[in-house]
Amino acid sequence: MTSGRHASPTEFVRGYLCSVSEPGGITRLAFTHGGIKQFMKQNTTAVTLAFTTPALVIIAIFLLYPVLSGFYFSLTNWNGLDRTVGFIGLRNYREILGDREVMVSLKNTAVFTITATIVQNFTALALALALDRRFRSGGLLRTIFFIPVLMSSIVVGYTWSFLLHPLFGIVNKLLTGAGLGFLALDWLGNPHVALFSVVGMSVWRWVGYSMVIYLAALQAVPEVLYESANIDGASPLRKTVSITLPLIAQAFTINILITLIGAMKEFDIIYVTTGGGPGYATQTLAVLLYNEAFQANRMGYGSAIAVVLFVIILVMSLVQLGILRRREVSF
Amino acid sequence: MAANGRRHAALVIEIVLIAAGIVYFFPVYIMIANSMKTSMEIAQNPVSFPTSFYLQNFVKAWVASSFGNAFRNSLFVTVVSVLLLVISSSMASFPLGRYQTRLSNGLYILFVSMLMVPFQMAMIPLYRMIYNLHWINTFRSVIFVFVALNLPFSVFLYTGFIKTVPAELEESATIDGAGPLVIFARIVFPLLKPVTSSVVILNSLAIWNEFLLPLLFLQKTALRTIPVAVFSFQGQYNTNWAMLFAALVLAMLPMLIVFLVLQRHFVKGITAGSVKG
Amino acid sequence: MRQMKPLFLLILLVLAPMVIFAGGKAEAEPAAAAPAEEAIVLDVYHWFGPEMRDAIEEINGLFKAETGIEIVYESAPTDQYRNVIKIKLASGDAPDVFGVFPGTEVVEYSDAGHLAALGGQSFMNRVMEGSTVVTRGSDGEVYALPIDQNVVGVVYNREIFQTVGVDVPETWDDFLDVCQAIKDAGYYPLALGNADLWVTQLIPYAMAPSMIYKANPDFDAQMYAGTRQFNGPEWKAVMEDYVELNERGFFHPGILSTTYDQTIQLVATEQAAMVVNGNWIIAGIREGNPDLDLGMFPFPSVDAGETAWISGAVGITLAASADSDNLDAAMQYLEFWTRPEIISKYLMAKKAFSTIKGVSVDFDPAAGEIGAYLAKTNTYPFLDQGWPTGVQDVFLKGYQSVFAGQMSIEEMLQSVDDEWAARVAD
Repeated sequence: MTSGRHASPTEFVRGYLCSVSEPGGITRLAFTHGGIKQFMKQNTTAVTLAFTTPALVIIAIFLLYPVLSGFYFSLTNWNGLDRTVGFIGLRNYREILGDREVMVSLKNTAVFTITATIVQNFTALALALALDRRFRSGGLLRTIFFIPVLMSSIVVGYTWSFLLHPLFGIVNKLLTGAGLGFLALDWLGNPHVALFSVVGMSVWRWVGYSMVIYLAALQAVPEVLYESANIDGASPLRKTVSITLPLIAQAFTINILITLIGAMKEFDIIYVTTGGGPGYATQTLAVLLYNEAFQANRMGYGSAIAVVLFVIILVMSLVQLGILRRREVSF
Repeated sequence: MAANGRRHAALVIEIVLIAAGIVYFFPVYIMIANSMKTSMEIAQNPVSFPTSFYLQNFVKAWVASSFGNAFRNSLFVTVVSVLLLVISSSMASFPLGRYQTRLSNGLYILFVSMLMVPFQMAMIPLYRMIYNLHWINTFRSVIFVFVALNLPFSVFLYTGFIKTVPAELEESATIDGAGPLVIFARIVFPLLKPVTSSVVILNSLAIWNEFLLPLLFLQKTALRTIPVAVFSFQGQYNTNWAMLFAALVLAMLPMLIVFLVLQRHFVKGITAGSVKG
Repeated sequence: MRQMKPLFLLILLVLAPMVIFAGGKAEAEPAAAAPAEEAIVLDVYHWFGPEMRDAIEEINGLFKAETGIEIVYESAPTDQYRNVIKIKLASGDAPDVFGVFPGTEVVEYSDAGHLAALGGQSFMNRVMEGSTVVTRGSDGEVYALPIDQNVVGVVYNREIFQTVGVDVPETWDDFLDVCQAIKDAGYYPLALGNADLWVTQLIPYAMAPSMIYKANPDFDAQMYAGTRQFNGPEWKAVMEDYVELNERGFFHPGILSTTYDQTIQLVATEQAAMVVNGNWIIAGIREGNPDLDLGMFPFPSVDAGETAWISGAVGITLAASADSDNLDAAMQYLEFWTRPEIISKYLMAKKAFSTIKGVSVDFDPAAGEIGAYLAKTNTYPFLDQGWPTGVQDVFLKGYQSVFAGQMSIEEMLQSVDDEWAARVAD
């Protein structure tokens, strides 16, 4: 490895990489040309930029720019139709603070998100753990649990609204038949129950997704560790708690983050089954913002709600990442 | 004795799983069963088993929605998008996962924050931009937008995973004098197979079933993707459910096959070769 | 050797976008080639359902045969259509001819300058006077061509009526008695799909013309002037009647989780005797059970000796874009639609009532029954067509809230008044 001279552009790109151990046990790649510290910084920059450019360019043009425009619309009273757009500053945001419908939607979003995230991850993890061992029916079951993810929202909505109908729905018919008639509620029409029914449908739809991620993580846990634990005579529970769970902490973080964000943005399932009803019982911020922007022709106001939603998601994600990242273990 | 207890537990778990599977599958059964009934049968009883397997629905749905054409369009868009996604997100994750500089951390946060944006916010400005580029009714509009929308998540997955892949192999490669691109392509990327499988499956799915973007940007009937073609069966008030279900079953099949093929892939001991003792 | 690999990858990366661009270009090419020969092409975009495709294609074909103008027709399901057309208009990508929802939407689009005025066009003389009321802008000009009308009434199963031994009711009290008799005979009197928001408003829509607008046709104008509110005796009476039907058990259980499709199922399987909806539901019911003997009568929200007003309104319109490069061709196309032989084809397929003078299509015996009433009484448009945007949404959610027990009638009507005030102020 040469040192003590500046790299020419071609050498820069081809470069001489080696790994450097840093305090804190992190291993990273660095160039080793002379003036090591300075060059290491410069050169990692070069590599970073080179490798992230394709992704960055696409995102900047097709996502970042429209989103920033969306931010701009939130400061206007645009109705989505007029050719001109009127700037009104923060008036939309002030209206949001006093809008009762926004408060109700906020509450529903919170309940929906927390419940769905917990239930979905718990179920997905349990399924993944159970399916990771090689059962005879393992492969088939894995597919069955994943199929709802392949379906489109309209089918999910149609079939579930028939299943959950208080009169001719199979769910209530079975419950009454089994003598559990008192449990036969009006699942989608009773305002106190509807939100939880929607959580149920959402979990049904997306569990397979989380399960797949957990399964992939479980696959990556090396057999060796289990084998040595077996030699030490550890029980299955002990193995799960001490080996499996810590090592899939990464997947855990990922899944919680995704389900959290997904639940806060969830629109399809709610819109297709209850439309936010009955009344406002299942209306979340995502549904509200769609209604305001596109049905009520208040694009400016709807964009402001979208910004509020975005900020909430951002804050929650950062908090969650902060808590969970610290507990991750790597090899 | 302990072994017996363990086998009992395993059996119980298996039974519970199978029961859950049956319950889970029921709505899917409804979709499949209804696709083989006549409209009249569906209106009479949506949850019954078909009295006779009325397969004309599939033929009629295929023809009415120009399914073959829609299938080709969906295939093209999905394959190209996923390809672009895998390449760009895995590449981006390399420095983001390996370096801890302010730049790499900053970029990582930028990518992940894009994950949280509600799409409705960006829809109209995006359409305006695509229209001004004269990209309406071209495939590249949906492809690039799909990639942009799904990049944050894929980068997130790849970055997280790359950190768990030890750097020793890369070290030995650099000692041999290899450049970063080579190291990435020949050493790091193959090790990312589990995540690549997940990324391919999850993104193929999202893109295949995506309805809104193709509706906005591929308005010509000839350019329609499957979801848009399928939902053309929805009228203002009355929907042709028999054909709709048949078309939906047809739409789901390719994804099902992809999933079945790929999931065996990441089941097959990916652990082998990724970690040295 | 090793140095070749990264190059290889780079080349691949550069090639990939080119493949995409090439793929994209191939699609764009044919469109660019067309204008070469000066053939006029009109873009038509609408929410016509799939069952209309054949009829529309036929009409377009006849138009092309006569004028040589090619029609490129695309459609999308209603909800999506609404969103896409707004986005297109906002981006300057308006189709030459497209559909606009009658009432407030015509006002909004024309105010924003997207629609071409139709007042000077001679073909407008063929259109029924009353039907253009809801296709005018705030300046009073006509901006859209109404091409069909629908009515909301009570679709009923004649056989069940015969079995139970009741006749078509003509007053509110008769109606209640009929419902009771049907209920006693073991059927559900009325199917109601309040899980679908748009269904919740239909019964009030059917009641209001007789109960409010017959006595006071200027009610809406007074609302705009602030002298009348929703939270007043007229609307309270409507809501109380609506709720009374529920309290007397004339609906089936679970109305808040029943969808429009499920009400079709209830009627098709003869579990329910009646359903209050638009004439479009007849086609849906017939598909579920072609053998039913169906009829349709106006909702009798009147006392003895009075005639009920029917809730009827324009359903579909065609409008020409103010920015169209082919405005003359677009007007020709609209004129074509007003010809009796053409509009008849459309109405037969659509199963709707005509807006063109002198044209009457017998598309279904059940609809024919209410058609006979139409000739003898007045209609009043669907209420939201006269309200500011946003009010209807609060109403719809309000209906659900009342039936869910989360709001009282007063609270609900007050919330609609609040929304009205806010929207009018905008």
